[in-house]
Amino acid sequence: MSEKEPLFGKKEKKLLTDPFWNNNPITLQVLGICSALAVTTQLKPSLVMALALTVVCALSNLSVSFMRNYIPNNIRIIVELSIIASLVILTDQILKAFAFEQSKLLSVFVGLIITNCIVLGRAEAFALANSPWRSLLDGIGNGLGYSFILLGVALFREVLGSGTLMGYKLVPQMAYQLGYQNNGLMVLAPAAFFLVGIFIWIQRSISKDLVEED
Amino acid sequence: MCVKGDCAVRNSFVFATVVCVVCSVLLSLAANLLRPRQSYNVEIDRKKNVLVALGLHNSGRKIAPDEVELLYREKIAELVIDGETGDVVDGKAIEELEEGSKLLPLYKRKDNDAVAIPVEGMGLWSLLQGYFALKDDYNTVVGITFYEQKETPGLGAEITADWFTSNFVGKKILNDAGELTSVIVAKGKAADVSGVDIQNAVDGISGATMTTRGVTELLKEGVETYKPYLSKKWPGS
Repeated sequence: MSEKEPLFGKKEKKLLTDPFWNNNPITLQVLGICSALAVTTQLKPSLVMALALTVVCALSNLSVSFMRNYIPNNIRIIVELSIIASLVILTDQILKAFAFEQSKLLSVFVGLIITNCIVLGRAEAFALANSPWRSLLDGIGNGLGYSFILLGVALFREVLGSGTLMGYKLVPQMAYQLGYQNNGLMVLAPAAFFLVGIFIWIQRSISKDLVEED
Repeated sequence: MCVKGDCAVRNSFVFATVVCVVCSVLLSLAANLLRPRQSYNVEIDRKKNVLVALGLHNSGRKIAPDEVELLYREKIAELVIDGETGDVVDGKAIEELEEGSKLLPLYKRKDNDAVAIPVEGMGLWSLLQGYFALKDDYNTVVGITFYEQKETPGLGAEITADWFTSNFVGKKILNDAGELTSVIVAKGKAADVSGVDIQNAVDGISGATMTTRGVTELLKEGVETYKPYLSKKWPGS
């Protein structure tokens, strides 16, 4: 590219903000739903998961973009997967060393970031055709969009399903004595499905231009 | 050198090799640098589980690593026992025990003589490892924890949940006739199991038959292994 691209011009800002609403990976691209179901029973592990995915997505986009002119086409996917897998293993090892309790809670799901369609999807769709800085921003943007939904679902599931937030009791004991019960459905996986569906519905009601043509 | 068309295959090989080498070096470096911290975390977690099994710590509460160390040193006596005679062996530390030796580790609570034995066995997907704690009559269960498992979250992994482990408290490993039956995890409700006294069974986990079968097996094996030691306090032996 001969023209100098601004570091934080309009296009760059769009890379960070688009995945938040207009092109949210979960509600619009419909990717990465699986982990959205599994870890969102509580807010704390969801935070760790969201951070892990954002870091992996950003770094994988960056690495793939740096190498985009040299990767032979016939081994393209495998190379992308190797990079993603290495980053995820690295993240898992770091979590085990510095956030052991959280890594136990997340158990296999950090490893499953490798299979999360968002990461491979952005590497293929964006990083292969864009500059490293732009790809980094795109990775961070998509990670943030994913985090937005993940934390939203976790917020409802933890508050309604366990009466706590980040482990701290939110519902006073008195409410339980008066007959209030934690919503058991919120703790089960289908609840996450329902919540994501409701988010998609609300989002398209607010931004009608996002509704796809049949 | 290679002709235009042939270069593709050679380039793929070279590129793939470079990627593999770089990734391997990066990961091995990270693994080696982080290993001391990780081992420390695993050791603290193990000690915490011994404390939880023996009722010295509530698993829901937060506790700092040095508090765990302090509590453990204060309240737990690490003993080595002879697997055949059940006698306590002096002068040996648990860290020195080798795989397959007939010497076994035992964790005794200093203030009430409750003991925790390590138990392990295969679940559905992974090796389950935990501690099974008995009161000083070596019959009544005080607690059980699993510190290592990789079972299905929500199903097999529920063996670590408070509701499941708390069911074991108060159960017994000897039946009414004084025979060693261990504690069985029922398929369904414990009360519905025929041929087993209610004090020797706990409710099962729906959807986790294989994992809970593994738990039943590893408990049976565990108490059998420590029988020479445990039987010393049983009536009639």
